[in-house]
Amino acid sequence: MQTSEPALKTRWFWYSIVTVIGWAGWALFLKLGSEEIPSDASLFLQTAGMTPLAVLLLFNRSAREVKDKKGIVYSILNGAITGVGILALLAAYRSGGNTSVVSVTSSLYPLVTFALALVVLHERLTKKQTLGVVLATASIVLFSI
Amino acid sequence: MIHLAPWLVYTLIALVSFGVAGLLQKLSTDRVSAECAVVWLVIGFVILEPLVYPGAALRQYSVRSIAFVLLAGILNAAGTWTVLAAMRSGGKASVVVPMTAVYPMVVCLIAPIFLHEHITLLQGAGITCGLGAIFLLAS
Repeated sequence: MQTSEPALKTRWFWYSIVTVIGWAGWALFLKLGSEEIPSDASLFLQTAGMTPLAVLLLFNRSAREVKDKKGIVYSILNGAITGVGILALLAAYRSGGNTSVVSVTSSLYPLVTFALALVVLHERLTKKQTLGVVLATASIVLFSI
Repeated sequence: MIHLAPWLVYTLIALVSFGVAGLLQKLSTDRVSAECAVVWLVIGFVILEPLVYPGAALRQYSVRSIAFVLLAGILNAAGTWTVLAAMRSGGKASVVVPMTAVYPMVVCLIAPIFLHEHITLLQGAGITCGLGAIFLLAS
């Protein structure tokens, strides 16, 4: 459960900020690489780039502990379904979809997670946080146009 | 029967896939460590590798471009690790996923330095919304 502790003092907030910085670097290097490398080959190489960290993490005991098989299944599904999403996105671009429309529509995925989290995980947000989701969505759309 | 254009079907598949992935991130880290979740998530990615194997074309790309994409993969994995750690540390999926999805904001801020691009008015508005979103989601 998320506590009522101020976010600046919570780990989840700072991990999220590090994610924002990490993924910004990902997008930047991907843009530089995609000037020459097509999307599907790029996905192949990206996965190759992800593998060393996974191997390194295996040295961490917590990565090798398999206490809950459901957690493992969810993790594999997470990787596979993200890959399927990327492949579908590439197919959408190839099928003649307008780049802006495809980009904006697919970038609205946080709204899907938001809805699923409310229904499946029974998460509840404050009014401020809900407004934050709306602003995040607006921000994502503005960057996708 | 409703006929949807193939590109729209693919786009909707992508939208739902990425949305469900956000839920799966939380479901997995409720049960295993973030490190364990990353390892198995990468295995999930690797399963799809044969579908995107570029074959001999791989040798035609410059070392520089390949290095950029490999580096992108490393940063993607690092970002994925920390987003899973955020959820493992108690972050709600409905908060963490929208918060981390505003990463293009940082790209826009650093693009003028690395890519010599200018920030457009729309991107400026996006940065403002993104900062506001992080402030509100963290409240």
